[in-house]
Amino acid sequence: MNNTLLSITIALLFGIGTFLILRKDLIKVVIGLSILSHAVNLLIVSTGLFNGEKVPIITGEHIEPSSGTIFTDDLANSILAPIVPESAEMIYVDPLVQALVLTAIVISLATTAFILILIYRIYEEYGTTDISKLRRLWG
Amino acid sequence: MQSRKDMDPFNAIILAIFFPFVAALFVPFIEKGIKHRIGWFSAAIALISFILIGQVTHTVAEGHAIKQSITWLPSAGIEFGIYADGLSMMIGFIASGIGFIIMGYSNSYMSHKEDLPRYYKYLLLFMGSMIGMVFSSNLIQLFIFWELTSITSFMLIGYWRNKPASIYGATKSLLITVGGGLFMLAGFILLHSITGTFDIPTILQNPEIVQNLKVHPLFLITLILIVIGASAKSAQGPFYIWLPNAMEAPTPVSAFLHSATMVKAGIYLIARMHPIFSGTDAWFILVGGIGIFTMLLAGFLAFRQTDIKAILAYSTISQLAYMMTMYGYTSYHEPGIGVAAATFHLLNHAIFKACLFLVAGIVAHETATRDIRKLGGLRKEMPITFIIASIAALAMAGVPPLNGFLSKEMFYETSLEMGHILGGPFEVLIPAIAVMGGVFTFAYSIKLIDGIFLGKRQDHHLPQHVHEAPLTMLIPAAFLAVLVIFIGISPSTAVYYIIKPATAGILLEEVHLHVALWHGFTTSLMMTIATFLIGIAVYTKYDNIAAWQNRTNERIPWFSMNYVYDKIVDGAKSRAGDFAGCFQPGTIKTYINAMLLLFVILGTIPALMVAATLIPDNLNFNVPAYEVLILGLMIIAAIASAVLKKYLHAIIALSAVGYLVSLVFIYLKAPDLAMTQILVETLTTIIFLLVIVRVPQIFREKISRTTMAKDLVIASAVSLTVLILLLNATHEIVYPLESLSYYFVEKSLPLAGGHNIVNVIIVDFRGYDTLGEISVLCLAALGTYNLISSRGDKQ
Amino acid sequence: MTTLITKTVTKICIPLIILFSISLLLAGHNNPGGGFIGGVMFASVISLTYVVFGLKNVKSFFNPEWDKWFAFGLLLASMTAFAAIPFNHNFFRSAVELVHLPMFGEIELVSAALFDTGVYFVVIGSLLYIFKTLGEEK
Repeated sequence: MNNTLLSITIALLFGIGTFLILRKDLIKVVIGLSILSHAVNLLIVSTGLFNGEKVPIITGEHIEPSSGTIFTDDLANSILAPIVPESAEMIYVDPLVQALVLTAIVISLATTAFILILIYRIYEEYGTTDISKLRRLWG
Repeated sequence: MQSRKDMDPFNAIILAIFFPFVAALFVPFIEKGIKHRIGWFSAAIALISFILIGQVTHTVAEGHAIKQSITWLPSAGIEFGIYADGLSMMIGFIASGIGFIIMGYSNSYMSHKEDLPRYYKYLLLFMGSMIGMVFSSNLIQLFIFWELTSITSFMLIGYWRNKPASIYGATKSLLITVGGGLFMLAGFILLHSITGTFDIPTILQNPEIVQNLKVHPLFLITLILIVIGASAKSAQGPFYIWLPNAMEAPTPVSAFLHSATMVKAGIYLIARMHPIFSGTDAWFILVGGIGIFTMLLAGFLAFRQTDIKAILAYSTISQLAYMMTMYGYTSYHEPGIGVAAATFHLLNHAIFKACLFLVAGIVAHETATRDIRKLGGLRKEMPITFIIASIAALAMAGVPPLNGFLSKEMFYETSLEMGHILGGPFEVLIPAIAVMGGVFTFAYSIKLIDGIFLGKRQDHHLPQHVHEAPLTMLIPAAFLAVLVIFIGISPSTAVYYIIKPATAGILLEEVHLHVALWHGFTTSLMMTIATFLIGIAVYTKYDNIAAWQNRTNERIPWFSMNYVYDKIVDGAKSRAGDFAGCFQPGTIKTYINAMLLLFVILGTIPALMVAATLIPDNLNFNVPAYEVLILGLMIIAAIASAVLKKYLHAIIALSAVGYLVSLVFIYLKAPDLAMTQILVETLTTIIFLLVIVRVPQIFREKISRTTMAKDLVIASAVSLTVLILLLNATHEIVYPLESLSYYFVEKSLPLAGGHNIVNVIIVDFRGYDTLGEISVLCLAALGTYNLISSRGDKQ
Repeated sequence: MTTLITKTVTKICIPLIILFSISLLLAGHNNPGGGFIGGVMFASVISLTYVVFGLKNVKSFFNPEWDKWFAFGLLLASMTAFAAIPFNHNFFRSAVELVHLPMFGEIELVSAALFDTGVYFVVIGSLLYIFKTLGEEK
C-alpha cells in the first residue's frame, strides 16, 4: 500500500535539494546536500513500509537457555544467498533498509562536517565561497 | 651418478624466482648498512638463483621436464605452475648468469653518487620476473611475468630521470612492449577458448589439441596476435624502433636487458609456441617473413649509426631476427638442425653481445664518449679491452673458431635446407638472403673493432691518456670472452647440457645433435667464406653507404617507423587533450547537470517500459491528520532553507527539516532511526553554526531569469522522476515477495541471538559493511584534522 | 546559552545522559539502541558541555584525546572481526553464549556486542574530534 502524500513530499525534497546544489554559494550547496540526504533516507525507509506491520524488534521469543553456542557451521555453509521460503510472511517492517539508513545518517553527519570544514578552508584560502570565482576548481 | 642430494626441483625453481623479488624488497634497507657494496649483495643474489637453477640441470638433461603447480585461481583455470624443460632452463641460466656478471660489473660502472638502491632493486626485480616468465607453465602467469619485465625495463631505461632522451626511450619501450603484450594476452585468451586450457604442458603433450587448433577458424588470428606480442618484445619487424632508443639506459642495463635477456623473451615465446603452431604456412610466412625482413633492415640500418651502443642495438635486432628466421624456417621439415641452430645462436648471442656491451661500457667509462667518429686507436692504451672486444666482435661476425661461427654455419645449413624444400628460385634466393644478413653482420662487426681500437685518434678533445678499465669491469667481460672461445672450440659440453635439452624441449622429442668446429668442405662453409669476402668488399664502402642512408633519410623523413610512432603518440596526446577539453569544461554545474539529466532519463525509461501508466491509479491519500501536518511543515521548512538569505535562518530551517524527518521515522516504525536522527540533527546544526560564524553571514547570489528558469526546470524534472519511481516502486506492495529481509527476520534470533533486528543486521549480518562505514568516520575525522593543520605548511 | 539555568541543568543532566548512552549501547542488541545511537548520544552530551561551558573551560578539567578513542574503536571492531579466525571460523563469525550469573540471572553474551562497542567508540571519537578541531580554531 503506497503512501502518496509521503511520496510527494520526498519528491519535493528532491526538487528543492537539486535546486540548491545548482547554486553558486557553497553553503547553500551543502544545505542542498543535507536536504537530499534526508530525502534519500526517507525514500529508502518508506520502501520498507508494508501495511499493518510491527517495529522490527522481536518480542515474546527467547533463545533456548540450554543451547550454548548457538551458531552451527552447517547452517552458514549451506547458505550461499538468503532464500525466501514460499510461505514467507512478514510481520515486521523491513529491517534491512533501516539498518542501511541508520549508518547512512551517521556517515552523512561526518561527511557534512568534512565538507563544511573544507568550505571554511576554501574561504580562508581564496576569500570567497562563490564557486564561479574559485578558478582553482575549474581545472 | 648424483653424489649429493639435490633439492626438490620444484622448490628450487620457486626459490630461484622469488628470491630476487624478496631481496629487491630489502635492497633499500641493506643499502643503509653496506652503502655502495649493495652491488655485491645483488650479485650474490643472482648467483644464488643461478645455483638454484643448476639444481635441476641433471633432471632436465636426462630428458625429464619438471611440471608442478599450485592452485591459484581455480575458477578461471589459472594455476601457479612451474614447467622446467631445457628451453626454460637455458634462458633461466642466461638470466641469472648474465645477471650475476652484470651486477658485479655495475659495481665499478655505476658512480657511488647514483641512486644505487633503485638501480639494483629494479635489476633484481627484472631478473626475478625473467626467471619467473621462462618457468611459467601457465599462459596467464607467463603474461604477468612478461609484463613485469616490460615494466622493470621501463624503470631501468628511464633510470636517469632528468634526461629527456631516457624518458622518451623509456616511454617508447613501454608503449611498444606492453602494447604488444596486450595483443599477446588477447592471443592467449583466444588460445584458451580454442583449447580450453591455459596450461602450456597440457597443450604441448596432447597432439589432438594441437591438431584441432590447426584446423580451427581462429587459428590464424591467434597466431598473428601472439606473433605481434613476441615481435614487439624482441624488437622485430616494425616494432624494432624501441630498442635503439632504449640504449639511453645505463650500459650494464643494456647489456643485461636489451641484448641478453629481455629481448630474448619474444624469441622464447616463439620457441615455446613452435610445437603448437609450426607446420603451417602461416607460421613460416609470419615468423620467417618477419625474421628475414628485420634481419636485412636492421643489418643495413646499422651502417649509419655513430653511437657504439646504437650499432650494438641494431646488431641485436638483426641477430634476434636470425633466430626468428630459423624458427620460421623449421615449419615444415622434421626435427631439423634449424631449431637447434636458433637455440644455439640464442645462447651464443647472449654471451658475445653482453660482452660487447660491457666493452662499450668500458670505452664510454674511460673516454667519456660513445661516438665512433671520435674514437679510434685505443688498442695501445687499452690492450686487454681490445683483445676482449675483438673476440666478441669476431664471434658476432662468425669467424672460426669462435662460438658465433658454429651457430652461423648451422644457420646457413638451415637456409639451404629451406631453399631446397621450397625449390624453384627459392633454392638460390633463401641462401642468398642468409649470406646477405651475414655480410651486414660482418661489416658492422669489423667497423666496431676498426672504429674504436684501430687507426688513429679522431678527436683531440678526448683525454690524452686513456687508462685500462678497473679489474672489476674487465674480469666480467674477459670471462664472457673466454666463454666465447670455449664454446667455439669445444661445443660438446654446452651442447649436451644446454642445447640438446633446450631443443628437445622445443621439439618434444629426443634429439641427436653433433656440433663440431670442422665439418669438412660443405656448402655452408663455402657460404661462410663468401660472406667474409663480400663482407670485406662491403666494408671498404662502409662510409659511402652510411652517407647514402643519411641523405635518403633527409630527403624522405616520413619513410621510417620512428616518424610513424612519433605521429601516433603526439596525435594521441593532442586528441586526448581535445577530448578532455570537450567533456571536462571545468564548471561544476555542467557535471551536475549532466548527471541529473542521466538520472532523469534512466529513471523514467524503465518506469515507462514496465508500468503502462506513469502514475498508478490507486493513489492513497488516506492518511492521519498529524501526518499531513508533519509533511506540510517539512516542505515549508525545506523551502525556507532554500530561499532564506541569511545563513543562520536557512540553517535553522534546515534543522527543522531534520527534526521533522525524525518524526516521520517514528511514523515509519523505525525507532532506532528516529532517535539517531534527532541526535545527529543536533550535531549537524552545531557544526553548521561553528562554520558559518567564520564565513560571511550572507551571500547574495544574483540569479538571472534564465538561470532560474533552467534550474527550476531541472529541479522539477528530478522531482517528477523521483515521484514516478517512488509511486511505481511502492505500488501495491503488500508482502516483500523476494526480499533479503525475510532472511534477517527469520535468523536474527537463532543465529545472532538478538531481538533488535536492525541492530543485529548492523553489527552481525552486515558487520563487514559497518566496519567499512566506521572507517569512513575515522577518515572524515582525520581528513578534518588534515584540512585544518595543512594550513601550517605554507608558513 | 550560558545562563545560570542552562549551566545548572546541564550539570545535572550530563551523568544521566552518559548513563543513558551506555545503556543504549548495551541494550542495543535486543531493544532500540546500539553503538551508533549510543555514540551519537554521548557525542551530543559532550558537545552540549562544550557549547554551554565553552571549549576552553571544559578542556581545563576534561580533555581526552578523541583521536585515540576512534583509533581504539576501529581496532576493537576489526579485532572482533578477526577473532573468529584462530577458532577456525570465517572472518566476522559471531558467537552467542548464554551465561548464568548468580545475581543477574541469564545473561546473553554476544560477540557482536564487542563489535558494537567498537562502533560506539569510533562514533564518539570521530565526531568529537571534528568538533574539537573546529572549536579550537580561533
